Amino acid sequence: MKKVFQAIEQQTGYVISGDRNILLASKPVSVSAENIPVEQFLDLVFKDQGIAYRIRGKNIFLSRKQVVPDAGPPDDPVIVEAPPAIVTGTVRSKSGELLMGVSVRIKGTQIGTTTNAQGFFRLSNVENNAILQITSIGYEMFELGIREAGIGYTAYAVKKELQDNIKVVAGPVVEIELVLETSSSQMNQVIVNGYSNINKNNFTGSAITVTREQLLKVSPSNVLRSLQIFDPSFKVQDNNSLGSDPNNINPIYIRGRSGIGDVTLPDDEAALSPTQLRNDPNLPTFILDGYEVPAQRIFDLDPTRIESITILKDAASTAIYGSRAANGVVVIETVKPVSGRLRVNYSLNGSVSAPDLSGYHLLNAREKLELERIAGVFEPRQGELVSESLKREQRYYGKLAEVNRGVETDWLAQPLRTGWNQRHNILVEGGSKEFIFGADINIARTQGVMKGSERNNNSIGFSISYRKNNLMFRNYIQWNNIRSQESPFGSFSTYAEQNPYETFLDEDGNYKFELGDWGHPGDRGNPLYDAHLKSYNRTTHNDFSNNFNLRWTIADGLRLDTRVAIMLQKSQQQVFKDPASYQFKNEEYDKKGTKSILDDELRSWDFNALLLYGKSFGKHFLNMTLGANAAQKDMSRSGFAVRGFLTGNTDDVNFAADILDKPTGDNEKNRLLGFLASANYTFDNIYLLDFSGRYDGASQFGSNVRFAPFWSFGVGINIHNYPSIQRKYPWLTNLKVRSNYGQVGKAGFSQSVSKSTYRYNFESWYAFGIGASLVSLANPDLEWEKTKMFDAGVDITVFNKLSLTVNYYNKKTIDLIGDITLPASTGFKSYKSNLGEILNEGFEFNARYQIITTRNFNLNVYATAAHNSNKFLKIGDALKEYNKRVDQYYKDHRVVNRPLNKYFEGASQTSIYAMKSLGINPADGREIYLDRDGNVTYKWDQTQHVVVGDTEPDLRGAFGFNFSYKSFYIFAGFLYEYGGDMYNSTLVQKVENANVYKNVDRRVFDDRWQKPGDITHLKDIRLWNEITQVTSRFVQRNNYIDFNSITIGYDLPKRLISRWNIETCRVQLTSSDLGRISTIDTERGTDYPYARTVNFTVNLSF
Amino acid sequence: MRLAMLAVVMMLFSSCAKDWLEIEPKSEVSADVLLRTPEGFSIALNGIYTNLSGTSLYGEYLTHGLVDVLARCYDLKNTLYDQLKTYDYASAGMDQRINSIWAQAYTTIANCNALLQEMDKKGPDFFRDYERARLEGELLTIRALLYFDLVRLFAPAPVVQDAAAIPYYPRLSNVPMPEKRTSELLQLIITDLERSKQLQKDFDTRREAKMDFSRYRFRFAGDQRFFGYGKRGFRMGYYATTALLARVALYAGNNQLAYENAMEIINDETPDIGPTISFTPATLIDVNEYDRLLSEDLIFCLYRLEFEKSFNKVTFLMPNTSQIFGADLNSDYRKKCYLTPDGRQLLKYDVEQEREGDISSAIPMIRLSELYHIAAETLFDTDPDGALALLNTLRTKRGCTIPLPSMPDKQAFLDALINDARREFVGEGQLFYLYKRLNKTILDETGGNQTLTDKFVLPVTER
Repeated sequence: MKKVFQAIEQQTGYVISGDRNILLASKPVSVSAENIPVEQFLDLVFKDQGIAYRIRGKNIFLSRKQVVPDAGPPDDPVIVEAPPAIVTGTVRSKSGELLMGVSVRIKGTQIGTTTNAQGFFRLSNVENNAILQITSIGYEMFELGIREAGIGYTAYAVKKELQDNIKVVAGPVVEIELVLETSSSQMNQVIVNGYSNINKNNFTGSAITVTREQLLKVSPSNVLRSLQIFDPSFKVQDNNSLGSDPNNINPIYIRGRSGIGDVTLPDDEAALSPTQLRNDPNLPTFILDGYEVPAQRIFDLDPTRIESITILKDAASTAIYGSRAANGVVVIETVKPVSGRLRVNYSLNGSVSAPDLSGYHLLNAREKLELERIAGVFEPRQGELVSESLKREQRYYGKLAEVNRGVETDWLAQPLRTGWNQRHNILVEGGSKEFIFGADINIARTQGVMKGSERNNNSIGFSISYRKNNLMFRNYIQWNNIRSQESPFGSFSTYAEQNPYETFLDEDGNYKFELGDWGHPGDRGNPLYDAHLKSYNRTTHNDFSNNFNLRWTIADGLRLDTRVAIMLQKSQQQVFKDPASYQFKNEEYDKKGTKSILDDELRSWDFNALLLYGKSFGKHFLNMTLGANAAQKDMSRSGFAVRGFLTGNTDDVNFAADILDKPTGDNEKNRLLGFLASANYTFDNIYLLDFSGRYDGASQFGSNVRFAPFWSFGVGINIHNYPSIQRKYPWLTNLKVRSNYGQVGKAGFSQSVSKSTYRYNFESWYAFGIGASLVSLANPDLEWEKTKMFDAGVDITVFNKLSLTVNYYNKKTIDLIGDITLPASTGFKSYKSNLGEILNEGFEFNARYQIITTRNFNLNVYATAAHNSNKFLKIGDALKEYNKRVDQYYKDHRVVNRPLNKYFEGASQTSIYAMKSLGINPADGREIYLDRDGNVTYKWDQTQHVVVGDTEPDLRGAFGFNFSYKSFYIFAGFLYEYGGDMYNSTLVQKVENANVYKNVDRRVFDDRWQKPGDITHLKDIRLWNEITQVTSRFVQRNNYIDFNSITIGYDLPKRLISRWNIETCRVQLTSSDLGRISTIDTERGTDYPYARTVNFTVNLSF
Repeated sequence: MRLAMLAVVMMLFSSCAKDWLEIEPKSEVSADVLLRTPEGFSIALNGIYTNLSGTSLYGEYLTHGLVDVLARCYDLKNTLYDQLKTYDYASAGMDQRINSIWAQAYTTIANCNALLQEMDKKGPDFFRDYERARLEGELLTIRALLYFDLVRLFAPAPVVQDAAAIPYYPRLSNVPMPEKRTSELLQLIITDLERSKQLQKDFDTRREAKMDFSRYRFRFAGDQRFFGYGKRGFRMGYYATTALLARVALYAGNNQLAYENAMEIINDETPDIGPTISFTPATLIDVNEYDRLLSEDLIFCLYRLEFEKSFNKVTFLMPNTSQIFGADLNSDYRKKCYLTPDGRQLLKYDVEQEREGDISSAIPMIRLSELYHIAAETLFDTDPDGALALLNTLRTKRGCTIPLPSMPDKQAFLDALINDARREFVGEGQLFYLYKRLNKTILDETGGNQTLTDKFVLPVTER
């Protein structure tokens, strides 16, 4: 047959397009023809072949003739013994990819085969009414029935609803084209590690996979926060000050913190930039479709674009990432377009968010005035002029008059609003088996609960893939645009401290420039006046990425996979302060108003070449990956600030009078080069062995230690696969024990670590010429941070109902790299060095119980829990020096509002250090302390601090349930923490150290000591000028349950929607952060309040 | 076959991998790149000199600024230094200034240490003749100068107490070093200076060098080569080192060493010409365009970067000129040159007058007169008349017509010395240390005496 077409191509110039594999399965023909049209000839050739053709121009497209099989089994049983069937076929995934190594087995027997590199299989001697089980990692098992029909056999899908997935040509040789559905069940999952796909059943590591379906149920808007529901070890750190700011990305860590984040005192410059999470030593590596991306990309990723997320946590699963693995790896795969007719998917997510002010208990106008009176604000001072005393009294009556007039300003409400958000996602896909295209468009508009704070996101992507014979290439190109804006109202705390007897509008209804003159100290500017000026803080971010993927199936079981990803990212932040702002009140005209512009650029590329090999030999199965990876990241940043604007409307830099500071610039370039290998061996699906290794070099490291090896080794046993166990305990669906050990590393630091650098003194030339000074100190011996990970776990499923996973881990990070703040006498401010060892040890627990599983009715409950204990095994000299600086800081500052971090060997990184308090002496209302030697004292002393708590909880996790009835479903997810501590700074700042000139917490009245004999935890109300320092009295238990998400959804029945040509339609209502039950009462979201959100989602597919 | 090809590709990869991973920073220049050539060393050394001339060090605080305020040279009115009248070192602005002296001095020391270490790594052919020895000498002297002033500011005077005072870094280190006792530190400084003298002697005491030193030491025109012959007066060369050694030895109580080094310079001769360093002659002073810095007798000075900005002659007023100059009020050149006719304002740093060369941009660091003081003080115990003669020589050179009579005891002699120093060193930051070294009371602007005792040691809050 092939020869026939070679002849056609030679003689006529017609080209055969389409699937040439069709010809493989064809019967031999011999035709002799001369001078007849091509059509006639083809009719002749394809007679009895079950092959159809179409001619377009000079192309001949081949396809199989549609043969519609009969539904259901035959009416009358076959009596005549026919020869057994031969079944041939090709197996593809939904995205059209030919699947290799798919197992095809006759049910109930050991007879079977696997597909070859072209996805083709051939099985002979198939009896009538046999059922073929077609299984592959990551796909749902497909059962194919074979039965006699006419002169031969035909095939049908055992599950009727899957009949569309096969195309059958009946005959003595049954020809099948089969499409496998991607698996969504827990049991038959693949672990996508970004390099290769591993069968979860045969894997010795612990990883958590979240599918699109699951993710969308938890939250249709925030991917990163949702992951906490699935993995108790995945923690998004709450930022109490920034609350639900739509532009804030919270730090993330997995299985405890292994890096020292904040070794800076409040006055030092922060090492971590808040929005970019650059240089965060605990941030996991994010891999999007095979290449590394910044956390911000995931933060802005539309959850409907996600196909699956895999969280890799232990050595066995992460070692392949070598120097980027120590904090865990999060692998995200996006939805790939699938072949078939043109399809349009549309999803809409609308949401409403409202501020959550449940932590605020402020005084009303009358109470506030009363507080001032009690505190003696209006009483005459010693040695004061009578006129001054009179003025004080006048002020009291002035304020009283306002209160009596009914002034009761709700300051908290002023900067807030209800946020309306929307998100649209359109995915268009289609194409033939060879050529598939897809386009996606995302539009998102997010409004924060503070007026004017926004994050708007637009993205458009286009993908094509083409495959021919052994080659497949895919290209995805995407452009992303994000415009974000901070609220012009500034910090929310400004409004929380305003006095309610104060008005912000003048008689004409305009915003007052200054608030009432009550003789209060400090600035009296009206924050609302400033908020309504033309000031802004905007960031525009654009990124462009192109991913190219070429796959070459070299031979049966051997594949070469190359990937090149290029990314360009540019962002610009513009901050403008209106010249009319209060802060410029006393400035000259040419100095009023400032504008600063900060440009950020990131150019990166990532190249991967992988050789993948997978084959089974009888009971042995071997899977190997060999590869190389090179990547470069080039970041640059420049900024300048100008001042002197005439009006708020003329905000272009061209209107500025002069430049404010010297323009700044910063460049950073990193390179990474790694060679990797991994092997996974399985014997009889029972004994499992894993190895992976990587040899990595990175430009950030000391010139003496450029390359380092990383590796892991794992073993496991599938106990449930022992035939004897299967016989004796048929209810034991799954029992696997596994363990692995390895060493991985971390390289999230900038290059100045390994180089001493000089900076030229451009401003001042010396007599002999220009000079240069040393600005950073090199450490050529700086070694990789290494984390030794041990992991052991058990997976159990019984009766197909209860599944349980328990993991124990032990992560020891050695040669910890940290930024050490040096004493001035060394000549440098800071230095990077291998300074210590940290141990993170803990367990994870994951349980799921299916209470009811019937045809229409499903209910299951789940719970997760994790415990992590963190301990410093070794701290460097430098950290000890830092501890001394902390003590000095306490000594130098009158008020320190929160306990500062200290680090000691044997203690946790998250310990709270403060003076141990015995509470308030009922006799005199003063606080009594216990020093380190156990003496009772009134004296607060920074050298007597002890560990008084730990912010890390004993247990954290999630629980909830999943309920469905027909197409209706409910999902609930709650997050909890138990046993952690928190320093209640509201009690300190707004009650004990309350500034009477500002609004304060209600507890200022209720709980304070007033007369001898009062037993309370807050000291005497009259001790205003005795500043409360950090003590254990304010360390409170922070147990909470967070109503993370509650979802109600409904899939509209097909018969209802099909009349509008809609394939599927799903509506869903999700609430996020609806409430919180907590043992601590503190102001949450001090600079930006938290929000409660209700989402409404519609998914449509045409 | 394919595997083999892949292996070859990977081999090729890994061989160039190390180079590929070596990335030079862009916004800064790495030490490796800068110090690849001797010129790089010179640029780094320029950087060190630039640091020395900064506000926190000799550009202000350690010369006419903070330390002279402590020595009560000025009648302060509404200046940034008001709090120092009561020696309130802890007040907000002051502790910051004091911390910045500390930090800047140590940063500069670290820069010296870094260069000294890098030098050791270079082969014998890296530098040209003399360059290595002179570079090392200069670095050692600068480091000694800084340590010495740290000791003088932040440690008690040796006559009061020999206590653990300040940390000493013999090399670049990221580990904080322990504090050393004053006596140990002074000994280390003396060792460094003696080594520096030895290194620089060959080059700087050649006849040509001496001639250049006496004639062109502050000239900017001419030789632009870094290690050239000009501008030695702006360098920590042999004479600067010797003079500094005399100063250090005196502070350390090693009178013999101090005397020897002071006299070495006083007596140094350039063959066929005369003294290498001599006082600014009267001929230069009497003409109208006199040299307000009396620059001829400067042995070492720093290059002033922005003096005109930081020094305001109106805010720093001289309180008791006539009391200090006494009978010499009308004859002493120092009154005539350093001050306005009414004696109220300091003109030393006045930049309005154009003078030959760029001498107006010099910050005086060590002058010949100080060596006369050192020699006289150290000689007094053994030869009071010789000491008096030295002091009178100096006074004569400065235009004083009435010679000092014989002193009854050392205290009286020291008082006379202090009086001369007050005329000589105003605005140069040496007086505070003089009072401190002798543990003397300080004449204040009201004519009273300030007893400092414990206030002689400045506190540092961020060490």
